Amino acid sequence: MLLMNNYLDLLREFFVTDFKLRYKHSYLGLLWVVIKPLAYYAVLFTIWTSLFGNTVNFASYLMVGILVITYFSEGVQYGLQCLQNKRHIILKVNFSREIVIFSTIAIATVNYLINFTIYGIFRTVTHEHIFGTNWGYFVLGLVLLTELLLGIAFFISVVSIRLTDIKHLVELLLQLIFWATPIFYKIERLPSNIAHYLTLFNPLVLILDIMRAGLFNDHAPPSVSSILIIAMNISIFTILGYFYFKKSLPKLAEYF
Amino acid sequence: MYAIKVSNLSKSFKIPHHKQTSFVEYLLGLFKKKQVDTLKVLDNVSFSIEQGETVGIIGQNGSGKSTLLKLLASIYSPDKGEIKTKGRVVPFLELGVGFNPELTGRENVFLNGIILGMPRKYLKKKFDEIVAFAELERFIDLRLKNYSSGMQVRLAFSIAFMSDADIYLLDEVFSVGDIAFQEKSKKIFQGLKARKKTLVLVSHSLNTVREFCEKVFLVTDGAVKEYTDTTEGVNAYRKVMGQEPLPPLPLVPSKEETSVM
Repeated sequence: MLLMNNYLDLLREFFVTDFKLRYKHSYLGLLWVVIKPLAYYAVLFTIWTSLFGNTVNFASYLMVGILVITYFSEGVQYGLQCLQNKRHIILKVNFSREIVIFSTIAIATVNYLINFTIYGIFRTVTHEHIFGTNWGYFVLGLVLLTELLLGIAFFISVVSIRLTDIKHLVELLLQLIFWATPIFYKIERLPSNIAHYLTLFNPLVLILDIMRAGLFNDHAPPSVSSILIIAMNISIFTILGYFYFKKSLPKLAEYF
Repeated sequence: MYAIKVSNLSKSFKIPHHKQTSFVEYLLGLFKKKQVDTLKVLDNVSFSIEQGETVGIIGQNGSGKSTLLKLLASIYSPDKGEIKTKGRVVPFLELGVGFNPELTGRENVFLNGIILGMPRKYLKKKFDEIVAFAELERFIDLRLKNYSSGMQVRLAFSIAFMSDADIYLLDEVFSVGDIAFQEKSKKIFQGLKARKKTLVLVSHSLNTVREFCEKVFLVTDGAVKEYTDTTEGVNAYRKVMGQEPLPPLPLVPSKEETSVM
């Protein structure tokens, strides 16, 4: 019981400390969490609706994609660094190392939720509902995405200790994934074979599709079977990641 | 009854001639025969430490003292052999693990304490005691970067010894703070000893080892030699280093004499 208490305390402590420290040196402090996305959306909204004469609906559609890809790349990049950042503690105290992964992804998740809240305010301003009638899809997509990020973090946090320049490879892959995800375009516009491969190899395509179905009533959700398959694949991937992480643990301190 | 039992423990580190840290090096390395040196730090070591004993680990730099302590703290895992411990182990391989200069003293008490395995509730209860022992009441809401190094170490020390463990692993944590604080920390150690806690300490201060420990482990060339006479152990170490033996410790005045004074 005592140990479990400490487990949750440590999770909370890592989370709160890292969150606090990110904006410690600035005058506006935690306000930056809000200001950055707010300014970003204001610009995007203006450009897309007035300059290109697009509909408000498209600007909104676009933002959902940007939010998701931002969450994804932040999560991956935090995950990449997280064990390195805690090395001074890992080398001195034996605690449950997975706490580092959980607290790190939690920070990315909270960032996403803050960003989404601000986006939600934009939605109400433009007379939309914050969620669509099928809002459950949005929650499901978010859960899948978070689970995927955990799995990725379990793998790359360990690998990055041994191969420091994996971070450049990851940066490159993130760039590719950005363009391989239908953020600025609709997947139906692509030639069907390309669309097929993208959906097959990039889990973000389906996840984004699921989330949009929860936000826009005119966006049809993907088929139940494809949702089941991706949910199963992500779960298997994350569980494998967890075991890989656990297996690497005994030697972890020696890798640094 | 033992507190720590180590049997046939071996630990070696592989030291590659070229460290592969980049992806390209890694890929190229797949086709090359790897040249690796093996450094045997501990070779088939066995010993046991009884509950309530205070043991000093001495040896040259790089002899494997800290590796041994890290193995006992389960930060490293053994290549061969087994380590059994009874009760809660708290490692103090460094004072103030996780301390962050940007956070206040108060925030750091919780951060460091929780990292050392104490629940938040417990720390809340002990908070005033920790701050009082560190003599930092006036400065506790200042950022740690504004503390002097002595103040930081005092705070770290006070948090560390608030944790309620059965086995304490200490790496060079004596001689912290000024003379007055050292006296206070000595009392803490004596208190722990009186409460039958098991203490394992790595130290280069041979007099500290002679004064506090009942046993000395000398780590040389992968072996751990046990001495129940601490002066003998310390002198064996001095001999390894090519130095003259120390004279025997002066007799400690008995309690009655000190209380009269």
